Amino acid sequence: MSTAEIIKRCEELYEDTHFTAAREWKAADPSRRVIGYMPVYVPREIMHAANMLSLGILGGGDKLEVIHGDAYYQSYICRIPRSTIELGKSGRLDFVDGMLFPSICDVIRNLSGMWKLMFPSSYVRYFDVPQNYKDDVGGNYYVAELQELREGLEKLSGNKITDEALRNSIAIYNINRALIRELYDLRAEMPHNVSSNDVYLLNRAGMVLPVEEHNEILREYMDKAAQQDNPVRDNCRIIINGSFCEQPPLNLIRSVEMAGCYIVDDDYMLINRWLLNEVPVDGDPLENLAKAFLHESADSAAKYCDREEDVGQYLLSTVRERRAEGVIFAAPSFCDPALLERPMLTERMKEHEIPHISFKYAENSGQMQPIREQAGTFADSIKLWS
Amino acid sequence: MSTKTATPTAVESQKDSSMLMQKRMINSNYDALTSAPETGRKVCSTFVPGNLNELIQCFGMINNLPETNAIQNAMRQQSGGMIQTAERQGHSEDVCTYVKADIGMMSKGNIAPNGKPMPNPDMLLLSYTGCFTFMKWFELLRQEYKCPTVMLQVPYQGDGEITQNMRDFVVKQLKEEVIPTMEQVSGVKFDIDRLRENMRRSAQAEDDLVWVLESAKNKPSPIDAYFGAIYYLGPMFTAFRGTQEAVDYYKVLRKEIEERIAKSQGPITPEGEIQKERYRLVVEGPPNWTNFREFWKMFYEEGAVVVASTYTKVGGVYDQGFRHDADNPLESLADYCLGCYTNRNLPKRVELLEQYVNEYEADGLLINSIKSCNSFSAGQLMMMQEIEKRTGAPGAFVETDLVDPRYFSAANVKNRLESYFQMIEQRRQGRMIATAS
Ligand code: SF4
Ligand code: SF4
Repeated sequence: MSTAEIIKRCEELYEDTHFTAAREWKAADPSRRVIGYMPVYVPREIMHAANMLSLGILGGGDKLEVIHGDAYYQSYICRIPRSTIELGKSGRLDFVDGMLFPSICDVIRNLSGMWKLMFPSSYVRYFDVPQNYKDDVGGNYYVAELQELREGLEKLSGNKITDEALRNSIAIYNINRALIRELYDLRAEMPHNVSSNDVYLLNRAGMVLPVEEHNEILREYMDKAAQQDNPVRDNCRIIINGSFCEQPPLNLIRSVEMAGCYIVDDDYMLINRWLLNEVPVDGDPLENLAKAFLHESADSAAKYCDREEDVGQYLLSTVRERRAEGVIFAAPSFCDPALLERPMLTERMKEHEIPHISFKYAENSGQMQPIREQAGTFADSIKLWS
Repeated sequence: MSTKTATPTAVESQKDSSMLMQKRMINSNYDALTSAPETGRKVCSTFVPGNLNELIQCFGMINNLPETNAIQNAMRQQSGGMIQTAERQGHSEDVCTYVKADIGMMSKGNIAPNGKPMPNPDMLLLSYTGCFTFMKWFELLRQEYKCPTVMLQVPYQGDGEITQNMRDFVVKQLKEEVIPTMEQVSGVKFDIDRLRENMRRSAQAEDDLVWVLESAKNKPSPIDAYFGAIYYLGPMFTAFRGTQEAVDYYKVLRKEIEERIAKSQGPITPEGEIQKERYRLVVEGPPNWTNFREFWKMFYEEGAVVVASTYTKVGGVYDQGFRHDADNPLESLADYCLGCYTNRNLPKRVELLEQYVNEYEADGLLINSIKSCNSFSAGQLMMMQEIEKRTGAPGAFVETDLVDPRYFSAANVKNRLESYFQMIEQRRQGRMIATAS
């Protein structure tokens, strides 16, 4: 397949709010189960080891008509929980055997309880992660939580999740993470050949496909993309921050690029890059996953930063590594974690004289003109003053 | 129609006892805080839900609660300006106004409600229980105060229960993170017997508090368990749990309420006693603070009495049996933090409301949905539907904010309440006709 064909397939997957690919995967073998999860992070290795497909639920995008979902939320709450309820209530998730709600904010936390009430026969777990990063404090707690999840999934799937299966799954996800890292490196190196539209859609495909298939797609895309010879545009290099949960419409990403910005890093679908390095396959697999979470995971507003001097360092180092010229803080409206953290991050940007702008969006934002103008002016100012 | 009658003697007698006592206590804590630079006592800033007052006192530290400061500022009409100051500094209009009121207060010289400068905290105790915002709030404050900051992560009761793993995690943090930081900041060695003593006093006061809250099962209810109870909860939720003052306060309060029950009196309001209880309501959600009196008046003018509320459980759900347990001090502190209202999952919150509507024989459930607070608000529409379904009692929904005056629309709220009371009235008449025929 050509890169265009690969991306076309990814776009179809992205637009399919009935999750046909995941349905087909499940239908192929009666012993298979599907577990939905919300942003930002869940240990997909555990699902994989139980012969389950983990299905990333990232709201309904800008195409889904929200009929039921709005009745559940006041106007001052973000969009993703209402479109997620829409997906559930409209039967689009009727093939999903369970849902995981990671601890990212109070909205998703409460949604876990709503899901319990709405779908009483489904396996629903609020997945708490440690905000204490010491092995014998937060680590012990987390290993026990992982063990509880493991047991819950064993019950649900009827499959024993052995250490061996877990090690195997870790190895497969290590490949996936390495490929995604490579993809991000490639885009930063040649953004004219690897567009943000492509990177986004490739990432999204990883939310709905079995990891093995995703790995193949990523390999094939990169092999082809690296050989392309697209014209290099006079764009500035920027990083997107704050979009880790409710997703912007694809048009927004395209608009930013069209306005003269190459996106050289972002925090979309952080789960694909949450664990920053290879997770060891030897030893206790749950402990290995826990250690990776505690000591080598991405930074996001959903995490506590235990040392003041570290606040914003992750973003700063990404700016340096990616040779970015500016940062666009793009957060969903009413997103507490992103918006509470933003003043601290902008402070750091100011200290280091890194140009930045901020705006808010919703997954169903329709008007791209203001964003295009804002991003365009930002790009011009960077070019003019850098 | 107005059912209130202001009887000066009633107001005065109330003021003479528990209310004045309560006021004195709250003021004394502000005086202790603002005189800390002279007395040398250390200041520990922390949050109301899951606050560890018994432990803080073991180290001779003073407890400073930013939510309470925001409330005080709102009641004095100061918070609006503070919030706008914070927004001008780049804080989003979308986030919790407690945070912005706090940051704005800091920018405006950090003047305490007693008019004196508030000292900088010596430590931030981030009791991360029931609300995500707390975490970023103290990261923001840490940036300003540069003082030791300790995070006490309290896992959420996702399945509606406290597991041993959760409890062990909290205890471990208390032992290895919280207590050592407190020792270091205060220079005082931890004494577990002192903690036990404090906890014993907590439990005594908690017994009386529960008695007071449950007195609303009487008809008429002698208390308003939302607006009025805010005052009753002050000492328990802030800096006095674990002190003899709190024990004494709740004894006096209980005695007062006993007298009110004996005389079949209704609750005291700022304009006197409610003479006729017409509606009994359960309320979910925090109150609005900028227009607290105006909001309350919309209830008591109609004879509406709140007989149970969930806001009065944010600092501990004592009526469900929890007591601080001196025999298992650290485990009990962990259970306290884990059990606070907003740390319970949504099905458990619905169960509690259902229980209140039934046990307190309420006419309905009113939700005051707070723009600031996703912890409370996300899911409340569903909670209302569930309660209507389970109890048959009608629900109503009003929207306000905590300390941002821009989000209190008196006309809207009043309209909603009036229609709600009418609806309850109509249902009653419908029931009467049905019984008669
Ligand atoms: S968009 Fe933000 S506020 Fe909304 S659910 Fe996601 S993290 Fe929470
Ligand atoms: S979001 Fe709610 S619980 Fe959290 S600090 Fe604000 S008012 Fe308190």
